[in-house]
Amino acid sequence: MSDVTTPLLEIRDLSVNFAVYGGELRVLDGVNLRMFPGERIGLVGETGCGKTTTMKAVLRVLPMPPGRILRGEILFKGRDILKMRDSDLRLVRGQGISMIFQDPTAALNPVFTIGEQMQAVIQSNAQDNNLSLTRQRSWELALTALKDVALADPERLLKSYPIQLSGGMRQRVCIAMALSTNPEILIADEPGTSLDVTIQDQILRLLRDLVESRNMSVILITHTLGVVRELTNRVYVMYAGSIVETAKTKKIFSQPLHPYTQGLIATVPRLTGGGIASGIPGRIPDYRNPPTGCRFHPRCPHVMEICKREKPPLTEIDQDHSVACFLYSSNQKVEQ
Amino acid sequence: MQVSTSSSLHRSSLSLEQIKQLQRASRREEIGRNWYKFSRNPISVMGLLVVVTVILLAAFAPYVAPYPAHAGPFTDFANAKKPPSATYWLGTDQIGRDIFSRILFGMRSSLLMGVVVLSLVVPPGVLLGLLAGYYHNTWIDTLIMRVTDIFLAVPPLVLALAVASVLKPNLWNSMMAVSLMWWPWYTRLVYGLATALRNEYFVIAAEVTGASTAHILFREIFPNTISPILTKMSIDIAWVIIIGSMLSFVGLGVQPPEPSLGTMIADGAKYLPDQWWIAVFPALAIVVIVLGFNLLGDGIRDMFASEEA
Amino acid sequence: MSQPILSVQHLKKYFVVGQTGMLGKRQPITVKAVDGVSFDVFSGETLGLVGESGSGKSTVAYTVVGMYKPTAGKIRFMNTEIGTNDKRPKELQKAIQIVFQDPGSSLNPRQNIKQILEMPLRVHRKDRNRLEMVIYLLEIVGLPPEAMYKYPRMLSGGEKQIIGIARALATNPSLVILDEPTSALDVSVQAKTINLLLELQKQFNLSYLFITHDLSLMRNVASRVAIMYLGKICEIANTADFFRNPLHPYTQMLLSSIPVVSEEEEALRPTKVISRGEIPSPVNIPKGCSFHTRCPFVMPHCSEVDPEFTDMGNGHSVRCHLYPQGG
Repeated sequence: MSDVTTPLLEIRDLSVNFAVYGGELRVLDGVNLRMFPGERIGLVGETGCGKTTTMKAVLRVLPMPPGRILRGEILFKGRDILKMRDSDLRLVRGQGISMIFQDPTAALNPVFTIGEQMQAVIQSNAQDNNLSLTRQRSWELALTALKDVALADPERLLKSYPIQLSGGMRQRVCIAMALSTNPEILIADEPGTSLDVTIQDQILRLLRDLVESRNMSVILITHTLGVVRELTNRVYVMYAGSIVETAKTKKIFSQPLHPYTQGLIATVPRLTGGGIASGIPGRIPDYRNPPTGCRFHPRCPHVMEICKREKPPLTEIDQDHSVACFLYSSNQKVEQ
Repeated sequence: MQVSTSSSLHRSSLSLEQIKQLQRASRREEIGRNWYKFSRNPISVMGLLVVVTVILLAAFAPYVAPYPAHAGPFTDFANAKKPPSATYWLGTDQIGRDIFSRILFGMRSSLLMGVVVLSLVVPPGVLLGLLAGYYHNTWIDTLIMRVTDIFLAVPPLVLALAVASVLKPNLWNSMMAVSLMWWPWYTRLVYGLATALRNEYFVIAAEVTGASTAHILFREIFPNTISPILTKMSIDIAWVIIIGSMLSFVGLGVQPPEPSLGTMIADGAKYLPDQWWIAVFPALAIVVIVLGFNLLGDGIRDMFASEEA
Repeated sequence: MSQPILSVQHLKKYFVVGQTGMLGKRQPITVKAVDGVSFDVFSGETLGLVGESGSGKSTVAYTVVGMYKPTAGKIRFMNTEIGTNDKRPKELQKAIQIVFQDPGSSLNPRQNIKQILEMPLRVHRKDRNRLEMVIYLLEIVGLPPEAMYKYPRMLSGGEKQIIGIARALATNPSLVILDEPTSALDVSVQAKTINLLLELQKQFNLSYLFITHDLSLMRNVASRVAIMYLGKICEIANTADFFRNPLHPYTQMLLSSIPVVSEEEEALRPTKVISRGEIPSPVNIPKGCSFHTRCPFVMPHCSEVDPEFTDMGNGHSVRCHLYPQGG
């Protein structure tokens, strides 16, 4: 399959450090991720696993310093984002990749109306494409964008300020804005987390309908496994700065292989009851001085000697199912 | 640190000595971390160096100054208005006194004024701000903040001028006048912080547990206002020094023959531009001191800034 | 388990948030945050109080713990009326404690763990050796004594929350209000924190009033669940019964909105009710049944008459016109 199609986005061995008091945080330790057109990827991991840092690197908005990219490349349609000139980067950010944030309130400017903000996005995108739009035209485009996200009375909405909208409506506006440039990749960072359960459900359903009908490529960053299950078709599980497992979404939930993935899925409280699993022992590592070998080994119930010495590579062990764990590599191969 | 869920309670085997060691170690680490954050910006370190140097020079002026006697009633018309030279580093003034020596002594009264004014102003200002902020929307708030507003409406320099012209014009009276007008700024600052902090859950936790008001004001709220207070103090010292110099410039501050930077500029101004050094060097001294304290303030702010991921 | 430790009856808490109208005929704008809520918490049990924003669940918690004075209604704790107290006696402050939602704001950033845990000890346990007590408290929540001199920012979210729990336990309370204690935590950390809470509950015979928006969590933690919507309880039942047979349309909507991780759970979610509409502002609560604006089964009189509770037996009560009294 990978022979026919080139990945839309490929992250290769991305490693990032952050300077802090007393040394450096080794936040990303060789992240590998591949996304093909039309894929909907869930990047799952707990707070501090580096999923947001990864996406900041993709958009090249990492503060540097204190951040420092040690090695790795981020290829967007074959071109390394990290080495792009600013003008090319603008294009990538403008129409290649759009982003929806966790907190729609912070993502909107409180002193401009929704219409002004949407028009600004649409206009600047048109400029990047050397087009000029009349105010009337950009207004119409904004109007259509709002209709697409099922907002009632879009004319009035365009004249409103963010504070006049509910949280759910603001998130819809943010989605409309992100989609108004027809991006090739939509990155959604915890798109419903700050909202109420019933409202989150509406937003997620809207998002799913939109991306499915447009066959859009999506990266969903979240720590909520249930949301991943409903929205994506491939999952990347991240732990302490690297990808530990990736598979089709169904497969991850039915047959998780990495001990961390297993632990993570087991700790989700179930509607069916049965109590709460005891969780994964220990805590996420100190990034100043992360564990040697596999970074999960101090918390792993199946830890072996080799795990303390070597970092397991992400290896494909089944069709479309890769895992970074020595439990699934034959011993001879390991000893070489 | 790990969370174990074992319910067996074993007595801790930590001795008192070990606990003290822990405490010392954590204090050391805290100092190290603060210094790291402060020193990340080299300009803050420069500010600190300038301030420390100025304080040391002023404190040891009698020993550092090449001509300590020139700070008092002294005349040497033979050497008047001499340009900077190896004998008189920064030249001499219109009656032959060494400008460098007089600047060192002048910094003394400037710094003294800054320190005295702030130590008069900060404690009551902060206390009133804490009270008004904590008792937000009560009569205590209204009373304190309206009085504060009234005081804020009078420019400190104007009041200082008024006081100084009614009372005997001297350094102490000007300091009193400036202090009288300065405390409301601290009340304002702390009030703003305290009104926000009173809604933090740690304050509410203390309230519902029944902690005393004194505990809540001084142990829960106050520690969270220290950083902005220190930052403001550092910048305010510079302001007070400027105001003190202005007062001296118009003859309402330090009285001759005692040296003050403001008087020196005022006297020297008459000899501009030919004998420029008489006025310019004291002015430069003020610039350096003010800049030093401002940079120090920035560093303090950085030091207390919360760590980002 | 027959005698309730906490009994809340017809509790109302209104807030005046502003004024409307021109000079001379101004009218206060009132938010009816809690509008006639009744429930009991029995000794040693966990009552889950579930709701979304604007439901008033936190206001109930804060009123019980004494941060607010009720506008009307009764709060009885161990058979003593406590809602009318202007300032609560020390004994009461000791007996009812609270763990807050936001681990970031619930610990003073300028105090170390020792100072944080000493606060309740200063107030309530003057006789004891404070240092020893701090070490003991850290022990019962499974943290080493070395944590004493750390500052909150050096702890992870889960550890901060655990310190919050230790602080609540410092006064040796009998009722602990848990205000979304794990909603800011990752699932694996949530699991540990919840297990710790359950263990402490057994060890010290604590009763929990557990405020949350997470029904899946309540399925596994609470002995009984009450659902709140816009200041009122709409359904209350024993946990098993509640999830087997959710009656109120809002409960069904909530259940259908929960993202789940397995097919067995999916089977439990009501499929008929799909979330729609916005949660109305608590300033402007719809007339009649406040849920009628979003209810898929809305009937003409729903917008006129606010339904009363119907007892469905076995402690299961629902407040909806679909289940008429005596019907």
